[in-house]
Amino acid sequence: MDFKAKLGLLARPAVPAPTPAPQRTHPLSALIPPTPTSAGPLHVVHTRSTAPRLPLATALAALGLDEALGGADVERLLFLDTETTGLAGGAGTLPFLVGLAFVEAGALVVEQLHLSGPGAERPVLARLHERVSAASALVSFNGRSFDWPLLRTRFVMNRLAPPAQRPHLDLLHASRRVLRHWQRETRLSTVERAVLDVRRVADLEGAQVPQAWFDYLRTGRVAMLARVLTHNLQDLRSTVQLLSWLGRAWDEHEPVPPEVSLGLGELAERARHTPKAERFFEQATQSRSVEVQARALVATGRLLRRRGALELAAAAWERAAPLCDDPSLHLALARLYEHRLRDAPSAERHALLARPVEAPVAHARRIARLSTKRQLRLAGCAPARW
Amino acid sequence: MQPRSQGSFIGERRSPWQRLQGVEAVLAQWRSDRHVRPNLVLDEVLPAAAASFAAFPEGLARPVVQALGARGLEQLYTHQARSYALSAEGRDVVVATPTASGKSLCYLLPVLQALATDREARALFLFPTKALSRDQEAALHVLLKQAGLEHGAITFDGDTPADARRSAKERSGVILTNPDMLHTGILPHHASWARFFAGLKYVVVDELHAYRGVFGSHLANVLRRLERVAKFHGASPKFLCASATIGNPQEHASKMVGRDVQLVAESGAPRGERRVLVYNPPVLNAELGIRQSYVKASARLTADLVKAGVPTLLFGQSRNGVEVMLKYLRDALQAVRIDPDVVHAYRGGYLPQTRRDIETRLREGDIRCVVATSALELGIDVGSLDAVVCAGWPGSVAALWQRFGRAGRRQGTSLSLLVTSSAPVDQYVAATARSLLSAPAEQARIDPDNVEVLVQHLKCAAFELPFEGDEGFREVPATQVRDALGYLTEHRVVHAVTTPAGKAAWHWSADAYPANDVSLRSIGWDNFVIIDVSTDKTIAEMDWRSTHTMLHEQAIYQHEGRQFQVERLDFENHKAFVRPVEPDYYTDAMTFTKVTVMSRAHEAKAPTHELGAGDVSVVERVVGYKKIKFHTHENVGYGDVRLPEMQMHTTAVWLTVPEATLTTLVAPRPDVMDALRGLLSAMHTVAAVGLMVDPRDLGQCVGGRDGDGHGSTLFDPTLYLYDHVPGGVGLSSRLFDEREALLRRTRDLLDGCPCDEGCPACVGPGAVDAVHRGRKTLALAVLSALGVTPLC
Repeated sequence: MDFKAKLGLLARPAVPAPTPAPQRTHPLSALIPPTPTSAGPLHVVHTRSTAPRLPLATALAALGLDEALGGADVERLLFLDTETTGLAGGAGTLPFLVGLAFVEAGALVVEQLHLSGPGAERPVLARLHERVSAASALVSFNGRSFDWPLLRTRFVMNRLAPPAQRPHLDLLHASRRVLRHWQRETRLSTVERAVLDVRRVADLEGAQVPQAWFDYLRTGRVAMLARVLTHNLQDLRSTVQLLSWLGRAWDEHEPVPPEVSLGLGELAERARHTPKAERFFEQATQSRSVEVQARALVATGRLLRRRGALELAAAAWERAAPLCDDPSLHLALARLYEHRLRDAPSAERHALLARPVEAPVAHARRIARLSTKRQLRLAGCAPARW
Repeated sequence: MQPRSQGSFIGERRSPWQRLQGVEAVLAQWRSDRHVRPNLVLDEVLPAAAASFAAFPEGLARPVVQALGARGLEQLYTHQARSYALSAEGRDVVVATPTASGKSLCYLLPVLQALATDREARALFLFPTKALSRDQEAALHVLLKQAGLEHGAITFDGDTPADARRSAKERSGVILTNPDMLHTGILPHHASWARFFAGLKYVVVDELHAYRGVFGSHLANVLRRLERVAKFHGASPKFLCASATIGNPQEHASKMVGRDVQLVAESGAPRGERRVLVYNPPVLNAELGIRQSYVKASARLTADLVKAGVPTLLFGQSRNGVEVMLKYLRDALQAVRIDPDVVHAYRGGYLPQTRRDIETRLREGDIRCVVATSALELGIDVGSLDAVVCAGWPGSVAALWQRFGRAGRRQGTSLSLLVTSSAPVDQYVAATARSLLSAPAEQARIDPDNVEVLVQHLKCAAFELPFEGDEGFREVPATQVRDALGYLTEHRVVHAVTTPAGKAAWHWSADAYPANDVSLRSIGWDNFVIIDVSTDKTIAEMDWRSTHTMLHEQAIYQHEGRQFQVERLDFENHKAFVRPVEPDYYTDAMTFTKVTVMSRAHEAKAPTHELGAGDVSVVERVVGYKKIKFHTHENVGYGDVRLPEMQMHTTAVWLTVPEATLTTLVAPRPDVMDALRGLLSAMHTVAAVGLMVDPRDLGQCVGGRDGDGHGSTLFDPTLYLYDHVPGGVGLSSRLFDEREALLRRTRDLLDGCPCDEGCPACVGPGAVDAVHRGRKTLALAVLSALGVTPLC
């Protein structure tokens, strides 16, 4: 049996793929007319709108927990979102639409670079290279681990040098940190609905995006690609809006639910903006959720203790203790009372509740020591300070 | 409890509770035992061999010399020097010397030299298992440190943490991995490995002999993809292969890497003395040729060794066999009050952590005996073992020596024992035991051009880099690549375009990651997990194909010496739910096979019969199971199994006996059919031994001319022998080429067998339900009718 006949024995497709008719001009041109560039014809769409207010570089650095963002010129941020032939990544996954957004003369410009077909990436990559090189930092939603590595791969696959690395603010991670106590899911679609009150009409399902591209490749039909363009435009605008919202929330110009304040407080604490963190935690205690209240109080206590306000710290933790029933909090209180506040009876009260998180021997020793101290004090022979 | 005696005088005074110690003592005991001695069909010594040295080659970089010095080496064995010289000339090399002859240094030297002279040099090491790469990584770290080289070496597999992965790609000089990871984790992401591929100087393929059949055919294709990707990044790496002693290392390596490879086979390493024994269990029923169970015999002999304190490795044939022997062995040790915990099982289905743990304890002497399937065969260093017992013929001479090679020291005697089963091939080996010592090793066969395998890898290759113009696929010609791409275009996974330069190009165009759908190890690739419902824990995994015979509902699944019954097999979700039980039986699945001819590539007609070869479809189905009682091996019941059938396309060779020929025989039809089955079983034995392949790689089935029909209603009964591998690996076409010899030797086998009316060594015992007294006579009559007459 020859090779072809053997191939015939393998499973046949139910419906054989139609043979595309040879085309002289790219059918994509019907949707997006090409612009000549030095790297070849580029199918590009520009859409302008009013630019929202964007946060300062210090806020970017805090939101991304990345010092490198602190030096970024906010006027030259480049927003990025791609539409791809799959989510698996790797050399065979193709970003066929590269959506970029930047601020130009006070307006937000969305620039969508569309591939006309596989093997025609050079003009797209050349423009992308220019934009990235001119940018001070990249902003994306899940671009750090998905879009950007994929784009880098495309440069390598086309034997082009990738542009120099830019600081990258991934809003997926930022919004996950900020919204974790409020929203369980942090996909762009859920975040934009919850935070930005964006409601999309007739948007594409995720799986329809690659399908639109493959249909276009095989049939030349562009109708679905038009919907992909809209989808991508919306994604980019939401990304920009989300950054603006996160910036306002960070700057305390935006009223947010107490659950969000808790996330912001945790972020501020990690970014070492302590007074801000204290304010956010204070707001978070207004939450109706006992868990959020407890977390906010524990965090408040932690910050207070760190700056030496020991009584206040103990008070915050005392408020938290009945809310969360956490033995390790009791242990922290026991230590604070014993070693810093010299309050053996209170320390002993909490130490007894810390048993589950302590090694049995250490626990027994602590209890014994505290009861000795208490008795000494009762007997009046304890010095004022140990 | 008796105090443990110490002191110099105890050697003189033996008390009953003191046991014999050491290999020599056990040998003496066996030789004087009238139940053992008559069954030893081979008891020979392989003499020790002296070392043969060569000086360090000239031009060896100073760090390399320094590292060798740090290991106390002042010269090399001759084969190490030879392989270095060849690779220095820029040749691809395969080293095929015995186990423990210092093969690793053969490939390590050129790699170290490259690293020492080029900061950007990179090397890729491939091992068939994760465990092996971990072992080698540790050894390599030491070596690199001794050489003062700063290139790292890191194992890259599913267990590598994310941050280590990043630095592996960027900085590591040596990446150790397995074919599966290269296939799914590295090649599809080659752009992130650009620096690694650009500097790639050497690809090391260790344990080359392990890549046979489908696995080997897959690896050859993965290497085709590797070469294509390396070329894209501007590198053309050389291959350094290491293999156990197989019959055709050079041919095998050349086929694997797609070009001529230089062979180094003369070992310069010294060897200690080795005692080789073959034990053929005694005959219980001379008429049916039934022998005492080899499983029991192996367990008993191994127990003798363990009692004498000899660190022993016992190899079983199957997972089931391993567990049964483990149970017997533990029972035997318990009877003489030895902690049964000194014996452990080790096999593929165990979770990695369990395996690591067993390896460590074996090295530390905490465990004295390990019962294993072939998992340990693959060069894991378990320290010094004094004895190896093989329960049953492992399928090939090469595999036998590979297993025997696990025992052995530089000095002193080691013991290697084969216990033969009553299977035909085993009996053939026992009958010709003496020639075992000089038998040529088997040839490893792969067929990288197997269509199913090739097409799958062309998909992966298209994902990695688009195909352009008249591109071939290493030695696959461009025309075939084009045909296959056409096929893939029809399936909508690649898309054909014309490049601006006017060339045709094929781009991957599907929302899928093809490497995930292609398993290198088998065709049915998805593993099943086995869940113990009493604890809700996953206790093991099993591949799809074995699932049919081992995890059907009601099956007794054996794991670490414990029995579990399969309560439910969730075929959709690939889960088997088992519960611990303590039955006095185990189960053995019964399979029904049907062959259908799809195309006839070769035909040879004789007046009395027709021989042919070509493509067939084989449908296998597990229809039921037998319950077999422990220890007595009685059949104590049957059960039905309902599982989907397994279908594969493969190649077969067949012998059709036309009705006209059959009418010349004066015998009832059912007896004739039974004799034909016997004849096929004899042909199967001869073919397996003649081709030197594992009998399990060759399937057999009696059917009709085109393959349909059942039992005695068959018209023109046809005997099929087929490659038991989807797509085939070329066994059948070899058999067709040697068809005359096949029939001739089958005749010789029957004529030469001393049994009266058929035994496992020739036509096999008759069917259980009917006693066909004349099975062998009738099979001989069929052969005569076919024109294959006795030699006079």
